[in-house]
Amino acid sequence: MIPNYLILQALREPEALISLSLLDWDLLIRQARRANLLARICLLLDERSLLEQVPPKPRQHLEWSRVISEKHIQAVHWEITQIRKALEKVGVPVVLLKGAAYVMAKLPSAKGRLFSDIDIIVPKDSLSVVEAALMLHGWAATHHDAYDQRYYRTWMHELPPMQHIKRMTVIDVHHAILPETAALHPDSAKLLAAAQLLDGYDDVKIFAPVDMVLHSAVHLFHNDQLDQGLRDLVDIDSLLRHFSRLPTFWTDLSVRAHELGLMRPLFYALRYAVHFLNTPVPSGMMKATQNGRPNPLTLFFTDQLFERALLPAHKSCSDWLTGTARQILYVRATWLRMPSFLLARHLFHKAFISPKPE
Amino acid sequence: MNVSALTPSELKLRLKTAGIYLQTGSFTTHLKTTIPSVAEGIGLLYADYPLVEQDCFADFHISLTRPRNLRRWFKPQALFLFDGNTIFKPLPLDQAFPMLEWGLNWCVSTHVNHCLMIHAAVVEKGGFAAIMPAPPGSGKSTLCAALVNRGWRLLSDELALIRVSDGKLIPLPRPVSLKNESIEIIRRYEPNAIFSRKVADTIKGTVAHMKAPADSIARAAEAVQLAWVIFPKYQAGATACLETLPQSRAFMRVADNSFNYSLLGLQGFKAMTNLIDASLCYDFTYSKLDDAIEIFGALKPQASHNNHTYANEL
Amino acid sequence: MEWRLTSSQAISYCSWDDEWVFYNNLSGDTHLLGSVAAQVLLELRQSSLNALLLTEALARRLQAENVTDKEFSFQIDHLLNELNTLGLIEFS
Repeated sequence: MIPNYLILQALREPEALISLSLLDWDLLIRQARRANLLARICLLLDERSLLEQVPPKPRQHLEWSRVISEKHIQAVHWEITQIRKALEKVGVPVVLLKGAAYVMAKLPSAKGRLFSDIDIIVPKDSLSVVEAALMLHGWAATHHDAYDQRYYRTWMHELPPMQHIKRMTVIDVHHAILPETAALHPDSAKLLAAAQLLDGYDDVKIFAPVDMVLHSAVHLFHNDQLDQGLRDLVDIDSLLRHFSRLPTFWTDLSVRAHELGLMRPLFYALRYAVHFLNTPVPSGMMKATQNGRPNPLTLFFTDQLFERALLPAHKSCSDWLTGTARQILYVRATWLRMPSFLLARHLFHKAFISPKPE
Repeated sequence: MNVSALTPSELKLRLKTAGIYLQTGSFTTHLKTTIPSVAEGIGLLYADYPLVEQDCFADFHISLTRPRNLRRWFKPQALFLFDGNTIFKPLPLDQAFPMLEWGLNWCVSTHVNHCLMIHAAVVEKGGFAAIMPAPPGSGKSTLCAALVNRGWRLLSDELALIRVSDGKLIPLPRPVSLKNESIEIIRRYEPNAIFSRKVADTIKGTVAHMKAPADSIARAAEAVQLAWVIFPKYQAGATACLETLPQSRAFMRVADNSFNYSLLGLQGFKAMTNLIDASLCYDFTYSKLDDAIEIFGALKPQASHNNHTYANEL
Repeated sequence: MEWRLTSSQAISYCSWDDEWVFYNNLSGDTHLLGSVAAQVLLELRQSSLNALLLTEALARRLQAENVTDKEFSFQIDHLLNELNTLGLIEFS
């Protein structure tokens, strides 16, 4: 089973942190920093009024990271104001995804978050007008390489990331939550139709609660960037805990997963959230997701892989298999999203053609 | 116990195995290295720095190693690791010690946020500090090296740390980085100064580091009141000239030279306002170090401050 | 249609002599402004105004003689647009 790493203890039971030795704190700070969860741990302690009981040295590190996260959250608000301005005349509501949605909806998963970009989703037939409007307002394509451009436009579920020429911020415009080439392709129209207006706005939407959970599950288990694996699992845990107070949440979640064909990612999301973070999931729900369960051999290997790769990429959380696990999962995530002939081409290109400096 | 308590071979062995816990200013760095030139540099320039007990809390865990690739047989390299992660591209092996210095600056400038951090040299005399923010090439480090060899205390030659809570400057005395001609200029200026071996062909040209004065290291816990913001500019043949700079302009220029002004948000704005308010701000052009020393010696702190209007509405 | 401070813009500023440094808490940017721009912000902080009333109020503040002067209104218009671009004020 998963060893009892400090970072997991901290996320499960922040109260217990006040009894840590300085040496434990040293290690926890390093694991949390690597997992981008330092600011979150700071906030978890602060809302329990326990921050003052942390010894001064580690407390300083926690507070340093909180400053960064506060700045990121302020910048996200500003960026969304700019995106709304840019898309004002397009007439398509902006649907925020992942972190941006959590921040704007003030969900607990926004706590202590760091951002590298903002993700939005729009209907596929609006992609080009949205792209044009963003370009008119200072966003420019980042992947100038012709291969990358074609790769995104032909096979992916998003435009090549666009960067604002002045603010240097990056926006990812999606039209689906998985690439067109992936084995699973949940119907974007259904997701968009169920999206809800953000409180206090008439032009910004977020996914319905169950869709938000399913998207974060899909994101984690079909993503090739597993460096942020634990961070993404924390999102899932936090969303589940938060939404479980909605009266029919668990039933809705399993019905929706069926409808969108996302039982497998949901099965994994619940499995690892429970394993790693003790997420309270009703036993009936665990049973309901059993039809997303892969065969025992697949499950055994997937467990082996994720139990390593979901931990922070820190040497204190690694064993001799960790590097291999991350490598295999990169290939797996890519494979899940693309048919095999494409895969060979993509890896070949990534492996042998070094990108031009931009 | 200071680094000097270890013999060179003890130091080398310790750095190779458990590493040392080195105290610089208010930070503890756990440092490991297998590279002999780094061990020598530490023995020479960090002799007077305290060693903290082993296995305590360290702010930064760093190591300098030689990457295990094919190149090591042809062009040996050095790698800087922050807690096991590569931060910079590898550099030629003989640049390992300068790389340690740059890496230590990186550790502080990318993590510390209870201070407003300015890319500036800081010196103190008579209880008042001058910060000298400046882009590379302005002669900031040369001037700083000269001043600390003429009775000024070194707080830092790269990082001004202004504590947000009270506006005080926090010392971080470390070796002073000198480039190209400045190395010989300071050697001649102060023949007793201790220097690390010169390293040629770095991205900054030829560099060498000058050991911080022992007194500055011993007083690393003494925070200081800021009195002057001075933008130095070396200009060959120029007569030394101190020119008053409008405070609003100084505000923007110091912000431009800050690592985390923008990150600190409103707190940063307030800290910067207080900083500028507490300071007399100048542009300073010079060519002769002796003239500069004289002009710095005649600096007087402002009689009183808070002469601006400030508002924070709603 | 009136000019006003951008909603939730909590203006912070300091000034020395006749130059003003404003902190925009929404964008996180800091702006060095001259006295006219600063007076516009201070005026709008009191109440939102249409361009004409704002120009008159500014003329009073700056003791400009002739408010109908085209050049003056043109400059103010230009300034308002710049402050709008910086996200300090909005037109609604």
